[in-house]
Order: sequence, then structure tokens, then C-alpha cells
Amino acid sequence: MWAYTLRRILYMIPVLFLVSIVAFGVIKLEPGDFLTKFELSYPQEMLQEMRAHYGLDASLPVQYWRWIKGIITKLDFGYSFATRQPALSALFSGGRLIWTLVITGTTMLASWLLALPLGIYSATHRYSPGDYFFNLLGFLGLSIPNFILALLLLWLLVVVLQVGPHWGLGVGGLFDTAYVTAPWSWAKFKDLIWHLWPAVLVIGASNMAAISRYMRGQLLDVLSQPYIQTARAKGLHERKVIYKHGVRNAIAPLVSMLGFWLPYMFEGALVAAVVLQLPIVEQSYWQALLQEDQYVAMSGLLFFSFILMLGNLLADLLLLWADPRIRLE
Amino acid sequence: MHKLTLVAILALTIMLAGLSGPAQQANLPDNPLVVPLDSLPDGLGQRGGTVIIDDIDNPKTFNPIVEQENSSNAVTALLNAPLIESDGTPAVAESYKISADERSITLVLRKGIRFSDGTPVTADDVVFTFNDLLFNPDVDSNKASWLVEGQFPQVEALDEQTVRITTPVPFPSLLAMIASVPILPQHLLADRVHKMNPDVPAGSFDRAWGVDTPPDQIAGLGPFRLKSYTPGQQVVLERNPFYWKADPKGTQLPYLDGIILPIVSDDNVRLLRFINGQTDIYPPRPEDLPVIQAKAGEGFRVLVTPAGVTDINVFAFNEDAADPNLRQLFRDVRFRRAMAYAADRESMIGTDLNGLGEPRYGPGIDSTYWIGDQPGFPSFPFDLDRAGALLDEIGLKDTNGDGIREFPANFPNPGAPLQFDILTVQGSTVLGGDALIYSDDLAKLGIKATVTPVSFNTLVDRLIGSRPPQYQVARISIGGGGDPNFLREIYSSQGELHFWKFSDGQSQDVAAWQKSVDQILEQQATAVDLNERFDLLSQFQTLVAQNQPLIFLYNSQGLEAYRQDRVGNFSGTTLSATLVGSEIIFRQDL
Repeated sequence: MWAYTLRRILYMIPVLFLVSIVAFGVIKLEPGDFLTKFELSYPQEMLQEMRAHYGLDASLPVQYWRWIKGIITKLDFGYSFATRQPALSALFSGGRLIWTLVITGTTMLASWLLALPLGIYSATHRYSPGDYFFNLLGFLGLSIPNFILALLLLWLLVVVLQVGPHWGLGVGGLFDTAYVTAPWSWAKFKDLIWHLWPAVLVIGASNMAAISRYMRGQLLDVLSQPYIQTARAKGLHERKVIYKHGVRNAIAPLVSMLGFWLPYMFEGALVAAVVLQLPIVEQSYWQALLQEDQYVAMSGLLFFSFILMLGNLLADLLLLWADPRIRLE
Repeated sequence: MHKLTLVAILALTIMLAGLSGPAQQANLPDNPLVVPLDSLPDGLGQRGGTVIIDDIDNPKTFNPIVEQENSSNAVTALLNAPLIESDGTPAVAESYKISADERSITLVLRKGIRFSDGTPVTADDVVFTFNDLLFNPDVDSNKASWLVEGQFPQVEALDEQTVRITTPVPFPSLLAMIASVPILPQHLLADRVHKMNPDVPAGSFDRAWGVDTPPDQIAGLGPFRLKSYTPGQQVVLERNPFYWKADPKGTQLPYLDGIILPIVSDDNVRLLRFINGQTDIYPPRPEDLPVIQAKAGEGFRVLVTPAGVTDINVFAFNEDAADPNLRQLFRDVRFRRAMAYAADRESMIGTDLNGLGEPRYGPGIDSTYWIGDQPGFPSFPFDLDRAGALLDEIGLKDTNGDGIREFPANFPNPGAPLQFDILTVQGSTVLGGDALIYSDDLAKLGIKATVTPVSFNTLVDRLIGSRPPQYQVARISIGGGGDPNFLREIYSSQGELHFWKFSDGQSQDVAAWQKSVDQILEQQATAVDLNERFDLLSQFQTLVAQNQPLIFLYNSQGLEAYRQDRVGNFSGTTLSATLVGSEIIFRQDL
């Protein structure tokens, strides 16, 4: 298995290479570059100097080659035209990487912890009012676009419930202004939870719907198998039938989906980041895209591609562990 | 003796109490700038408290010389101060004198003035800021507008407190430009300049005071200093204990202990946070007004300021268009005037600015020179009949009854229909809305105008990326402060932003009025007498308004919103989130 893992990791390198070419091409498709927005306010000589300074006056292949060379020889991912920091700093600094992992991790945990029991309930109480109700919720979660959900939530909290005037609670960001730089305390933690739950809801909403639907489908499939009938006939307690035999088998394909959810969640997090002001990697990536800060945007794209591939690898390894019927070849 | 000792002790105590006073007094320079009472709309304030205002985006740098955008300006504007203010009042300099030949200015710094880290300010810091930073070719600063006859002004220290700035010929804008230069500390930055410290590579200064910089390495002369920056979350500023202004009662400014700028990039969320009571000041959009005004009873207050006169909001007709019919037509002043009459400015203001704007018919320019509201100034109120009559005069008539006028025989392609594309910026409701209103009205005139939204970068590329430019008509806005020297870029034949007729730059078919404008703009640059300059620029505005090279539309009114129950002496914001007069703002609810 280790050889397999190592091989998979090595495969990532040529794929990342290809991704970098595509990323560069796509970003350069937009006419103009980082300095175009200054065309109407700065004199031409100054702009030409800046272009030379940033290396934007070179041809596209040359620009790409310089960037790749930097990565291969010095692990230098270029720098941000906007802040002049190294590209990786621009993406990850200020704890952004940590918060991204915290928020994504919490969302994954929360959505799975909520979605699985819902799926199991739906499968075991098929066509009951509870089943229909959770179905409805699921479809709502799937069909409402993330950003509308985010804005709706905020509107609900601020305009309808007036959380500020009534309870002194704030919206937006991860903390209220008083707590951002304050040392950790119970109050700070509570503030974090208050700011985190809308983010988890927005990012996880469509996930939860999909996961519970899959769980329901898989479990129904499994529960119709002959060996379940046998187990019941044996006289096993119904709970044991469902969990030990049913869920255990049904969950295997879902485990492999864990890997896919990772990049999917990053994309959902981007919308949440922009609307809810979460200080995560998606936010700096988005800003880089808007400004055509090309090295930061390309580095960000590489990062997300790496996460995608990591997620796939994890999914495969988890599947290997979870389902004894699957063998490596 | 016993009694004498007691008296002595009492005397000593009283003396010492008088000496220690508020610690702040020792930090004021010998001659602090005393803010006049009439500049404090809510009167004297008291020290203490913080104010929270959302910034639109992460600052990109804390380096005021190389900064380029508004989100950084919201911070650096509060950390720095210039020698004099833009209206000529002294700031870091306590006085200045202009020489008899009007070629030099001698400025005297306030005695005892210090940077926010306590280091005294000397003339060397001023010389450093100008010569080693601003004019240094190695530094990414906006220096082209400082060139006078191809040279930078000469800046020299006459002594510890005195600086002289000299130009080869009298330069009327010099005072205004000095007001834009923040005085920076040599002791903190000299080692980042390659010229002074060969150990650092060229261009190092551009990276100095970036967003990673520890706050204690940044110092300035503004009312606040940087306390912390948490990327993606907030910027915290604290009072500058060495600030050089005081109120009429002698209390050292700023009143506020600090200002917090959380970073919130979404407009709607900024509004929600303001409504929720999390922020104290919020520059609103026109559509936010009803929501905020509904909460007037809870202390929310909206201020509407008169429309500015410097921004230009226009439809540009490309007189170098590729289509020969359009090229000949756009160059006909009767057509352009018809297009000016066809613009329903009131509807555009009503729809896109919620009524908060004023029509304009002439170029935007600094308010000192603006004459657009004077009686007799050319105007083109909405009148489709007059527009139609002008088009008829040119010979454009609908000959085949399809509702669209055709070109007459004296055009390169007679019989072709009169139609063109109007480019606007994708996602801009204002620009797009104006273009749609315009094309509807043009349709009534028998002109087929198709609105084509493109990305901002594409639009800029089409306007100035090639000669001749690749557009027919465009709806754009240009800000710029209205500095007459910047106007040369737009209105002079050789200007780089003369995008409606770059061929003027090759002296091809230059109209007589354009030649006059070129002359006028040239002359006003060196005119030192304010009256002479005013006359020249009045002529300029009249000529441009009569000939409508650009169809001028309107200027929008400024909007401010704040918590009246919490904040006193609020003077407004500029450029999205930069507080004006932050030193006199105080908390009402302490």
C-alpha cells in the first residue's frame, strides 16, 4: 500500500504541471493584465516601467517559463503584484491556511454528522412524514445557491431578528472586532462559534443534502439484499441488522466520496468567504483573480488542484481500508 | 521649623502638580497647530473611545509613496501628514514663504515636532522624502507630474528646521503637489533605499513597509499609528501620542483612542453590519438611503453633499472609428451636439443615482476654476426635437421607412443605416443603465444603438490599447481630481488619454477649436497669476462644452452615513473608506 501511495503522490507532479499550464493560459485569456486598471490614471512611461518591473512586458511563454523555473529551482512561487509579498505568503499569511482547514474540517464533520443519521432515518422510515420533510430540506439545500443562502441568513439575523440591538451579536468575519487580536478565552471561543455556524451552514448545506440522499439510496440498496433477510431470519436485533450489516456495507461508497467533497467544499467556501468575510485561502485567491495578480492566482489554483488530488488519494485509501472486498492491483 | 517645612512641602506639591499636568502636553511640539473652533461642527470633544468603519479590502501596503489603491489609502491617510494642506494652510510646516520670483518656496518645520515613534522630525527627513524616495528613479512613485521643464524641483535643507523647494520656472501647482507628499522618517527607511544602502537590491523600497511589517517599524506624522493588522480580518490604529495638533482648549488631538477598520469586501454586508450597529460610519450607495433613513430615530444619520465637479461621466464617440461613415459623422460638431441633446440626463440621474446628481455639460475640473453653473454657459437640455432637426440638417433621413435613418450621398457609403455599438462595463449598473436609456432615446431618433457590456479590462484596452482605438461609442467615467495638468492628458491633441481622437496627435485634420484648447492648456500650466489662469480655464471649459468632443452627463452627489448618537465632528469620507478629519472625531457616548 505504501508503494501505491508513493506512486500516486509522484503522479501528482506531472498533473500539477499540466494544471499550471492550463491555469496560466486561462488567466491570460482575459485581455490586459494587473496594470490595466491603472491605464486611465497613470502616465504611459510610468506604466511601461512598471510593466518591465513586473516582467509583464515579456511574451507569454517567457513569463510562464520564469515562473515555473522559480518553482522548480527555488520553490519560489512568484510574488504578488499588489502587496509585493511572496505568492504563498499572499495566499496563506495571517493564519488563512489554518482557518481554511478549521472551517473546512468543521464543515465536513458537521455535515457528515448531521447528514448520515438523516439518511439512515430516511431509509428506515421510507415514505414517512419525516422522510418527506427531510427530503424537502435536502432539495432546498441543494437548489439554493450558496451566496443567496449566505445573504438570506445575514438578512434574517440582522433585519428580521435584529441580533445586534437585541443581543449585541455581530455578523461577518470570524470574530467581533474586540476579539480578533484578544488572547483566547471562553468568550472568544463562544464568539467564534457564533460566527462559524452560518459559514458551516452555507458551505455545508448542499453537501448535507447530497450526502443524506446518497446514504438513503445506498442503505435502501443494501437493505434489499438477501443477506439482510438472512440476518433478520436469524433473529438478530433490528438495530444490529441495520448498523452492523446495513450501514457498514452502505457506507463504503460514501467513504470514497469523502475525497471528492474536499475540493467541492473549497469551492463552496469561496462564496461564503466573499459574503461572510472569512479570512481563508479562498478569499485571497478570489482577490488575486479579480485583480489579475497572476502568480498568486496560479499558485492558488495549484494549491486547490493539489488538494483535489490529495482528496482523491485519501478517498481511495479510505475505501481500501473500509471495504475488504477491494484489492490493490 | 515645623510650619515652614509644611509650607515648603505644600508649595513643592503644588509646583509639581502644575508641572506634571496631562502627560500629553509634553508630547506636543512647541507650536502645535490649533484647530479653529468653527471647524468643529459639534464643538469641543473629549478624549477616549474608538470608532469602527469597514474597509473595502485588505490594504496592499503601508508604504504611502508606492500605494496605488483606496483600501490602502484608508489606512495610510490616517498615518501620514504633508508639509502643508491642499488649501494652503500649514501642517507639518508651521509657515512658508514664496520667493519674489515665484520659483521657490521656503518652509519652516514646527519646532519640537516628532514622528509617531518619538523621533524628532528634521529638514533631512523632508529632503529624504523628496529626493531619495519620490524623485528616485528606483522607486515606484508617481513622479511624472513633478517634472517642470524636464527636471524635478530642487529640494534642499537650509538648516535643521528649514527646507527650500525650487523650480526652474514658476510652477503654479507646486503648493497643491507638496500637499500630496507624506513626510517619512529617514531613520526607519533609509536602509531600504538602494541608493543609500547598496547592500539592499535595487527596487527594495517598493517592498518596504509592506503588509508584513511589524507595526513598531512604521512611523508617520498622521493622527494615528498602526497598532496591528490581521490579514483578511481587520486593521487596528491607535492614537499617535506625538500628534502636532490641539483643539482651542489646548487638548492634544486626536480625540479618539483608536480606529478599527474591519475588512468587509461585500457592499451588502457592510450595509447590514452598519444597520446591525457593528460599525459607526458607512459610505452608502444611493439604494441604501431608504433603509438607513428609516432608522433615523435610532441615531442613524445620512448626509448628502453637493455634487462634485471633477469627475467626468461621458459618452465618447470615436472620431477615428474604422467605419468611414461614422468617422465622418462623429467629426461633425452638429452631430455631437445632437447627441448631447439626445441624452436624458434627468432620467439617468433618477434611475441610476436615485436622483442624487446634477447634470453637466462641460468638462470636469477642480472646483476653483469650474464655471459650469454660470449663466450663459453652454447647455444641452434633453430635447429630441432639436436633436432630430440637427440630424436632418446633416442630411440623415429615413429614406426606406424602416425607422432608421440612412446616410446621405455626401458620405463614403450612402444609404447605409445609422447604427453603432455602445460599449459599457459589465456589471456596472450605472454605466449600463445610462447606456440603455440613451439607446432607447436614440432609437426614437432613428438611430440603432446596441449596448455591449464588456469587462473593464477589455474596455480600457479598446479605448487606449491601440491607435486608432477599437470602439465606436463608449460610456465611461474618469475620476482624477480635476487637476488642470491632468486635463492635458485628456483634452490636448498629444494627450495619452485623448481617446476620442488620437489622430489629433498626428496633426491630422485638427479642428480650430482643438488647436485653441491645446494653446490654452499649455499657457495655463505656467500662468502664475490666479486670475489669468482662471480666465484661460474658463475659455477652455466654454470651448469644450460648445464642441462636445465628449457628451458630458452628470456628477453624482456625495453620500455619507454615520451614527449621530455615537460619533461627533464627523466630516465625511473620500475614496470609499478614507476618513476625513479623523483627528477631530470624538465619541459622544463616553
